[in-house]
Amino acid sequence: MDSAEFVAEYRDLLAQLKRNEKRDINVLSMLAEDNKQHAPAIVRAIEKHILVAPAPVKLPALYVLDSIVKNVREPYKSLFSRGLPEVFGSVWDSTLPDRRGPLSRLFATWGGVFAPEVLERVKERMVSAAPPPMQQQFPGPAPMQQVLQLPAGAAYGVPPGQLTTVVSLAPPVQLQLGPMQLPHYAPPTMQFQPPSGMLPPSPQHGGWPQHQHHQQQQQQQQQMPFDPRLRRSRSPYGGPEQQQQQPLAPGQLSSLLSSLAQTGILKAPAAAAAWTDDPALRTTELAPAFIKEQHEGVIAALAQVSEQTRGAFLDLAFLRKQRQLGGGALSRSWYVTIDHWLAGTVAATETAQAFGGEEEEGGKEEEPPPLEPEDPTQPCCAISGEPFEKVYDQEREGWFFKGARRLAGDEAAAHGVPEGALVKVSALAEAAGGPGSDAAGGGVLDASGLAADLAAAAAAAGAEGGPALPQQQPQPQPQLPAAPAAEWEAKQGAVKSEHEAKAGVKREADGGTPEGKRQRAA
Amino acid sequence: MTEYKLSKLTELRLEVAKGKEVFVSLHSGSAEIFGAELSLGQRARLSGGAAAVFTWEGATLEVEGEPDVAYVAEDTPMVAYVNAHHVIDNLRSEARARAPASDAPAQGPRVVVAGPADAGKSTLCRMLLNWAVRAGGQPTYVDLDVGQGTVTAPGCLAATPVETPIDVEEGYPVQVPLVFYYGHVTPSDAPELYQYLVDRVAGVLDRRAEASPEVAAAGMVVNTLGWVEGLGYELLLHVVRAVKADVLVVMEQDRLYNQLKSALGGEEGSMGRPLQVVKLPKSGGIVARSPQARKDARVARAREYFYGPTGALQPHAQTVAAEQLRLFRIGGGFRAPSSALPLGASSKADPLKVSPVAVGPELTHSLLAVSHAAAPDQLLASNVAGFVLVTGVDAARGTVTYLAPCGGPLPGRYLLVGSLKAFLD
Repeated sequence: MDSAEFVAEYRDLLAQLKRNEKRDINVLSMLAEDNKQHAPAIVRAIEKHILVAPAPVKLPALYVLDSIVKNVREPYKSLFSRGLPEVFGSVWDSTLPDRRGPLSRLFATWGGVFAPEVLERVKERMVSAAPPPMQQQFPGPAPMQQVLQLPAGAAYGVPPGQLTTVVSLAPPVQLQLGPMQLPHYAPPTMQFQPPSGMLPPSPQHGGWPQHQHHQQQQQQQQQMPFDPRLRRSRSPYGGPEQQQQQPLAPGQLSSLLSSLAQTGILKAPAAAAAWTDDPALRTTELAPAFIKEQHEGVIAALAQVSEQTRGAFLDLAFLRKQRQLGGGALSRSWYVTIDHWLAGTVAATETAQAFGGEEEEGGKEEEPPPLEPEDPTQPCCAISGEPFEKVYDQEREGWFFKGARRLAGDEAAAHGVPEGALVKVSALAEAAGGPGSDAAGGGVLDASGLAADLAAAAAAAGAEGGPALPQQQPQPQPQLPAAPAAEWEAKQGAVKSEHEAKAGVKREADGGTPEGKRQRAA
Repeated sequence: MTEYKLSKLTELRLEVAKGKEVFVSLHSGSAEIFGAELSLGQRARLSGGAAAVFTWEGATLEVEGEPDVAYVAEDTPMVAYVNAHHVIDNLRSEARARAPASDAPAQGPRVVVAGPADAGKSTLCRMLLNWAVRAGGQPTYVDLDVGQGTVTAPGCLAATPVETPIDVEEGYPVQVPLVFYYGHVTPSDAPELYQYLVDRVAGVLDRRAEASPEVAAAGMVVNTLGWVEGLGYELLLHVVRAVKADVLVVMEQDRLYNQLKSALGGEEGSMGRPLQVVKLPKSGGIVARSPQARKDARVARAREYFYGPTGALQPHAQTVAAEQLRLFRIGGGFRAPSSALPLGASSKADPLKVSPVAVGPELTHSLLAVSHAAAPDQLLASNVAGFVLVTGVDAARGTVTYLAPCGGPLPGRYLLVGSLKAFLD
């Protein structure tokens, strides 16, 4: 079989890999082993597939990569090393933070498989990752929002201009896995068995807060594709090969994770120092001599800043494409008036900037969301049944349910829930005022500066057009992608409806409006 | 399918004929097209035009399709360009550092790019913007080149914030431009109107910069006319002063560089520093366009407005009664049918006069701008909501058929007529 033919077939097989099916992954891995002469093309096919595949099928393909580098090893290891940060990053970015557990675990098995500098680049890529597309925030409640919980003392240096607030590096605290069909592929890790639960012991510094809820975790673990027993019994590849790999001691994961966090902190200033130390490069004069000459520092500086912003841009590009693909036939909207343009573009720029983590003095006082100490016996809201989102509070050093309240006495009786029941404040508001009555409050609940800013911006833009925008936000919010661009579309929608209201006509088809498109795309 | 291995600081130059498609993908290393990074595995589509895929550190590229021209060039002006970007970005940092101390937002660099046609002005603008965005800024792009139209249809002055790298296929972000309709493709048709609109755009941008320190500090990149002789030169001086440029980049021409340097030397820009005039070399990859090619490009831009760069957008055709349309023209009417004016009247006409235009068959194929003006006397100062293209005028029935970008009624009552025509099939 010639190369092109083989690779085309291989690509087809990859395309059929939609779930984590151990058998199929092994077949793809064995094919790679038997066809080492096509290794570069196979590697390219896998990389391309992972990069362009829709989010849910990226992970199985990443398992193929994992299986090949661990079982077949060279030449694949070297070939995959180069693109690994981008490839892994693409899966990481498109995965909701609370679903990133398998990815973190997979990454943890790569010590000794890939060279340290490759892993370092992957780590950097993870740290600089943007929130995944489905997680973009939008004014109004976004229930799936998971906020990174960093242990006290750890701080994040988020590069400026990046659309990132939180990067969840912690192993997930809530895994919602659907019914699984076994057997699944599990990344071979002879080296590392998590002590109890998935979390490493929590050292004083840099460790992750110990999860208080081991039982639940272990249950979850049982359902997960990560089960060493299955691997042993089903894998056509024996363990011995894997045992040669450098062992990753228990506890090493925690240091690895903390070093990840530290990369985030230390990277920017440390690397920046390398070139800003050269006073010649800090010039603000466009002197011909400076312009003509090649300065390695200038090129390095561009590469360095690009590294930090790339993830966010890839997400936005992905979103844009998704909107285009999902929206059917679109039409160009009318441009807005000068006043709207000024209000909107200033807000968008500031939002992105504030979001990017530049420390802006005099920021708005944000009302913190109500936090209730975590109660494992009540994982869901007693009124709405929605699961609570858990956050780690640095000051109080404990896990809390975000936006939750414990009802007692009359209040509990009024809502027909037992004494001491935990409920979502948003559910209370809903019960009191009906859906949509508290759209702004919903924004505050979600507590991110962005949500509030966007809500304010949207309100500003929609002011003349009436409350059209907030009302269209259903209370259990579908996860709307809301990049600045999307926000714009929304705003234009508001402006548009204003125009149409003026003209005294009804919008013909809601599907044709930007909002409609956005919702469909979501 | 051809593979190219580029060594560091070289570029693959590709020319693609109109109507053909070529795909470029990055296999290893890193590469960028006009400052926008290609990601590994991305398949960038190029159609009708010239592009250069540049690499700072080396790359392997795969090209699918049949470009008319494809070669690797080692001699590029990219080092000079990126150095200019670096200094400009240092000016941004300076503005950000100053921001907390001053009452008004500290202005960042306003960069005007000047030079003759086919010198690579818009390409340089694009690189400067992309690099600035990659460095975390959100500069504003201002396109004052009415002949080209990089943001919207030709014949306009436009500005747009740039938040993400400019997409290789889709071009500038088009959701939210601020657009003023000039209506002609050369400023000699109505130089006073051009100047007026430059001042108007600059005024709105000043207001925008005052509203936010980040907007102010990110600065602007301003693309200008390719006409730099005589009246064109005077208009260029006007632009530099109106936007309060801090940096004036002159492409290639020594003569223009020296002329501008002596005319503007020492004038103060928005940052309160003296204007810096810098000359940058032109890229050897620039393909000179014939007047016909420019005309074709304009029509293509008009088509893009309605159909999108890939034809994915769906415009709506509408037919309305002629008397519903309130058409106006700005300028003394030297372009109006001679029958409408007494002999010799045009020379006395106010160049900024707004006058009504009757609907007639000569409007067919005209690109009309839909103004946001609430009354005719606001037409001059108002931006536009977009365009409609008149596809037919039925004098017998008294109806006009036009193509609008989207369905529903027009967002404004008044339409501006210029001299722009586009024949879209």
